[in-house]
Amino acid sequence: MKTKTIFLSLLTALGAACGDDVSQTTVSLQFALTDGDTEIGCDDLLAGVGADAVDLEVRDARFYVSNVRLVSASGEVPVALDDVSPFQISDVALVDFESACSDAGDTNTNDVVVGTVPEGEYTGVRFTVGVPFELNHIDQVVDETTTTPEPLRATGMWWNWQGGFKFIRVDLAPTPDSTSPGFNIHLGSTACMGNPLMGEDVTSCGNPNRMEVELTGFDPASDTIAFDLRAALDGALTNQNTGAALGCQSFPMDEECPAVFDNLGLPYGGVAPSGPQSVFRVR
Amino acid sequence: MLKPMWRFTPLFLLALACGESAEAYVWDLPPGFPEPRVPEDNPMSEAKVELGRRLFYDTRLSGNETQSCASCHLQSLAFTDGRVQGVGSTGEVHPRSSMSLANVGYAATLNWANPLIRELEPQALGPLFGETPVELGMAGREDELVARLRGELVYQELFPEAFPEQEDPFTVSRVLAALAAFQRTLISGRSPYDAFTNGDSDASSESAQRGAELFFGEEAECFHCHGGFNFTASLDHSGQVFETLSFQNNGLYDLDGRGLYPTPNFGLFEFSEDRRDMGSFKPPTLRNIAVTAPYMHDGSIATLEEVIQHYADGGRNVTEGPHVGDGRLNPNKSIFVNGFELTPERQADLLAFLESLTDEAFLTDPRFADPWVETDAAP
Ligand code: HEC
Ligand code: HEC
Repeated sequence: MKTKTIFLSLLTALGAACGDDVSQTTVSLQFALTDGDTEIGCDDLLAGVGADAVDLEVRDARFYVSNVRLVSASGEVPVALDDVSPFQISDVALVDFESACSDAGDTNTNDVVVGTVPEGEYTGVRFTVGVPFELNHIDQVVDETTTTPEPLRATGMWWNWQGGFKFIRVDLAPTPDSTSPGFNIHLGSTACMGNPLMGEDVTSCGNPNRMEVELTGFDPASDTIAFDLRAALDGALTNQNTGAALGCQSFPMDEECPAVFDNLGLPYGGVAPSGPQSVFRVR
Repeated sequence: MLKPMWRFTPLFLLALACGESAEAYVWDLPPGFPEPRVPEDNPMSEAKVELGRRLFYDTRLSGNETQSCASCHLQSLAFTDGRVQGVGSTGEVHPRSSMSLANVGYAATLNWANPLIRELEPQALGPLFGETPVELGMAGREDELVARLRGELVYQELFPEAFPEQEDPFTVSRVLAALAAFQRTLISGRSPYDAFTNGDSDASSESAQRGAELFFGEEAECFHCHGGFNFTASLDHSGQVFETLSFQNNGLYDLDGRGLYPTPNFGLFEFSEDRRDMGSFKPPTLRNIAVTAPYMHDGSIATLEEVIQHYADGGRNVTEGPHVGDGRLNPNKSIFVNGFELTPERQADLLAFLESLTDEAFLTDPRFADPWVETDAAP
């Protein structure tokens, strides 16, 4: 991919410029939205997905990434995110494939997470999909005077229901001749309780729903992290809407949720996932 | 025509400047009412309240400019909408019924069963930006919203007046702040029942007085959940150290013999995921209850007579349709919903009492009415 080559050479230049730092280097983690192995984007078709093999079109695909680490033979090191773009601060980054095909989105997109690590031979990456607890329950405001970090200002990612943010937002609309009502995946912390008598907002969430991702055989310089929508819908009941929320929006007791949560490697309704997540992988 | 009193009242007592100029807001409180609790970072002012009223009635607050807050909160219906369930700007049906905004500034938590929303400022994020369901439909369109408001002459005056210390007062959070300030003024406490308790012995019929006795008595037990000056268990005001806060199950449903309520209206369970909280909702205020039909979180009871019957039966036994099950046997039902003997006379008395909670002045108060009507009519 052309843009990526340019980016990598820029990184090499940056790395050289910081020669006297204790061998720190910039790393840029490249993400891609995919249908299996094929890169896709806004408005693209997902043909025959889910247990019901329905046709859906991408209307939104965004997620938050935090706690990013690279893994080498000697263990893991944290990737220190910098605030190079409005899409990231030190604690969290927004990966955004939505390019104005959603009513709740805009033309801005972001498919990289950039930070620094000590130089090394990295062969794996680990990260959390989600907004850290300390940031997840801040006041959601959009002032010019606000202290709300920029990546958290997208109202489309707000989760007013549980007083936090959507960690993943995927909106899929039916094609004109599809029988499916559409399918959304909105992941966020649920079963959140505050202690109103103490004037506190959210004190804990019974279901944090932060995904842990670990990818091996990953070369940060050349590999891409795929976010595979087909894999996310694997086994999901894509031709119905039983709960009130379309698709799976983390609401309790929704028939459309168990398969999706299992794909994300998260427990749902007290049932543990059958294994680690299968939605993010090396490409 | 007599203008509303408050226009002649010197509302602003200039306080000594401490950092920024502060104006003491003077509440217009019914006898015996405490001041609503006001967040420190959103002090009241007359300009802010007026701005909030404008916004509340402004269809520019919806994506397709068809709806305002007032579309689902009509003053004549004590700020409910008369519908079984709310209908948003795109036609999407809300799973729940609109709620009265009378005395909403005193509520400890907002919405039918959300323990996390305790201030009016963040509450408005829901109708504005929420997408499940879409109400006003502004998600992702906050810049557009601000641009629309900026273009209105009335706002070019009101925003700077309401937020004088700000260089550019046009922001979404100030929209929320002003809406909240207006809603805190929606105070209702001048019903015949209030007049009666304040000494006007002619204000309440004998039937309503007998109804009040039943209501506050240990047989019907209504007061346990609909108590205090606002007839609710969800209360928070400035004189209070701790908020009262309560979610209760009044036995509307039991789909599975284990207390299941129809999806997605699980009540507090939605947040705690504790099965004992399934079907627990906020006991809403009963002020102006005669004008806010239909009743309950899902609008599933059409009349007050049926509500009274519901409590007399100790819950509702649903015998047909998709929600079959005996709510009277719901294991989560409050011990205070036990049923009581209902004679036609008692039915009439309770009804008369509930009707005596209607505050006509509140329903017609010009301070709460649509301010755009006058402006549009002006040359
Ligand atoms: C589509 C109809 C609709 C619109 C538009 C709407 N509301 Fe509501 N309102 C509702 C419904 C339905 C509820 C109950 C929500 C729930 O329990 O989830 C509610 C609840 C509330 C409550 C909580 C009341 C209480 O006693 O807890 C407040 C406050 C409120 N709305 C204010 C507003 C404001 C301010 C706006 C405009 C920004 C607005 N509403 C727009 C339908 C609407
Ligand atoms: C155990 C607490 C409790 C008791 C006792 C109780 N209520 Fe309620 N009430 C509630 C709750 C909770 C709701 C909302 C329930 C829902 O929507 O699921 C409610 C709703 C109502 C409503 C509908 C309000 C609206 O805006 O839709 C009316 C009217 C009402 N109650 C009247 C009464 C009367 C009259 C009595 C006494 C006979 C009574 N209640 C006793 C808890 C209680």
